[in-house]
Amino acid sequence: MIRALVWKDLSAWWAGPVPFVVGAAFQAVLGVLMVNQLQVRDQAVLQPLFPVAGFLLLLVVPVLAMRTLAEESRTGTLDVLAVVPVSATRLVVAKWLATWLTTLVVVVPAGLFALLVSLWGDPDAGPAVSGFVGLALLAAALSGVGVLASAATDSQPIAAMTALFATVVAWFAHVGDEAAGDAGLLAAISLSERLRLFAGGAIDTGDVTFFLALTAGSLVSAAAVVDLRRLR
Amino acid sequence: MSPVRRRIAVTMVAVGVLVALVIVADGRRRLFDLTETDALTLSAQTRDIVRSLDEDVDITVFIRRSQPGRVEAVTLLDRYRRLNRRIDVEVLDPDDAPGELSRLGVDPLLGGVAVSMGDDVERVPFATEGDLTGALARLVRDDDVFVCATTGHGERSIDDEGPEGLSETAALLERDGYVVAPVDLLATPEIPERCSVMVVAAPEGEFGRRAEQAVEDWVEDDGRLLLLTDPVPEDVPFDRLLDGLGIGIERGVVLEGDSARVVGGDISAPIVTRYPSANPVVRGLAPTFFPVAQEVVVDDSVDDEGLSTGVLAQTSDLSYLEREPVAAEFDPSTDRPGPITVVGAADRSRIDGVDIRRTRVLVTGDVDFAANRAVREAANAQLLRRGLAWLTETEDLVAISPNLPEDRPLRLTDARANYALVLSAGVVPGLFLLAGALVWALRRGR
Repeated sequence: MIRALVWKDLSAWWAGPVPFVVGAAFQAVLGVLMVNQLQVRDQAVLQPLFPVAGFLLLLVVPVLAMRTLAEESRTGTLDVLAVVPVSATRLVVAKWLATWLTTLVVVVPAGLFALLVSLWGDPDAGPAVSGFVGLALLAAALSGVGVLASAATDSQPIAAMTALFATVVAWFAHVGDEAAGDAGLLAAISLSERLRLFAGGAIDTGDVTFFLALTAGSLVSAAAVVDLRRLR
Repeated sequence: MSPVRRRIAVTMVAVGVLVALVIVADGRRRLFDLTETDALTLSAQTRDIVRSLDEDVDITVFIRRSQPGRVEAVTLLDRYRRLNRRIDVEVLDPDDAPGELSRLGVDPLLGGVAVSMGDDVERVPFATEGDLTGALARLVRDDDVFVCATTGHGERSIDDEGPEGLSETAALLERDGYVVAPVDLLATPEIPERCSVMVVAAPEGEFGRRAEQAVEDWVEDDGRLLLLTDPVPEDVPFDRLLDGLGIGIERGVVLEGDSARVVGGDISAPIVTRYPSANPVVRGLAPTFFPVAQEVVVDDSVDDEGLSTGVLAQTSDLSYLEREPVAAEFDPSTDRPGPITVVGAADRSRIDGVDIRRTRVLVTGDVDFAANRAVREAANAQLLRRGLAWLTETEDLVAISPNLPEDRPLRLTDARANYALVLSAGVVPGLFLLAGALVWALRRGR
């Protein structure tokens, strides 16, 4: 059932212009910024790619995720789905999976830089592997937050802005931590801090758990929101 | 309980469990270091020292954006900060922060790292685990590291500001947090206990018997010696100082036959790019040069289980050791063909009860590379600073991996940069748009 729902969403999204335009914009901005980084550093390193791509995902994923449930709610198809035997959890997971897969398709061409840097230098392969693992996990978490925001409103722009605001705040959370001289509470929820070790070439089980838990927590909450709508 | 309330309660419990899971996972984190050099794997010593910090520590790294190792430094520092949130980290480009450089006393040309706790500041050359943990350990223990330079036998002086002097070198080391002090072995043939490293910089006359014995005994007893030799004068023997350490000096002058590897066309000033050792002193080091050097002979056949020797720097295959510099032409019967070793090191350890006794010696075939006229050229200062860092390593820090980042140059010409830009910011986005247009056209055609 989930597979059918995912396929339905993917077919519908990729029949429209949004993923293509978003993908083009993401790659164009990433290309300009990354070439600039390579010129400034003059080193065969891929590490700068991941924070830049991660930040751009904050802008991209809410746009991709905004229509998942908000659109269904606005057009009334969510009410139709409420009468078919699909649990809210399955519905939400399918929406999330479709968003995540779309995001991965948008991100994957960034692997071009791994190819170029390997052609013109001798980069360490480790950070490339861990960096893309980190980006995939970040995309999963952002997709979860995006789906949650989309579940909470009928308006696509409001869903996108809510997800964008929440994730940008989470990205820079560590800055508040430093200003307050706190012992790392805000840094622990900072998306950029969590991505840093992946970008540097290491996979930390604490960071993996964080991204997976953020994804799961968002989906659990989104499923609850959908259920509550049905119950009301 | 109403279904709505029950649904909310179940969700809150589930989210609470996930938060608890993250807290537990953060407390029991495990790291898989995928870097080729294990650059992000911290040793047990580092973890102990960092966790023991109970005061705020600021680590400020001055490293240019284009400098190798900047990315690795940022990630490594993040690991320190995660171990102890009392550590605050800042990475600055020296060109952007002259005020901070001045305040923290870091050399503006060479950069470096300032580690400060309260009013105490330790400076180290690199953001590597060895250097950072060493600096933290010194702050915690409040130790000064004394570098003692022998005087009284015509050695190059740490007060001499002329081109042959070592005043610039001494200033460089003081910026790195060392206390550089002269020790007159002619007047008092004893080595003060406070000395962590002895520097013998090209004496012109032989050490007297008592002075030589003092240095010998000191080296034997856990000593750390930096011996900077020079082909001129020829008659100062170092055999007794280096006895049993598998390292010696071969008299002559190294001449370079590869015209691309000499400074200013001077064949007696070879540029060295060959570092056949994993020793942190030379790992990933940029080219250095040695104006008028002799050979350092490294013998790895000495029968001593605790002794390890290393060839650290060599000239090219086209160089040779000229025994009679007046007639500078390679004579196979007397001269030695290249490559010629110009820097060597020896590390001898032995177990004494529960303690490990360790002697370390670093020998160069030239003193001028470290003198005022050349120390700031090429990577000469780096070699000297790394050498001192290696010599002054305390026993509990010896096992720490140096984690020196590799130099990974990118052959990115302007044409290639344009190519990358067109490909990544033009062709790839264009393909996305083209695919979108195709989908649109197909749907319209149906």
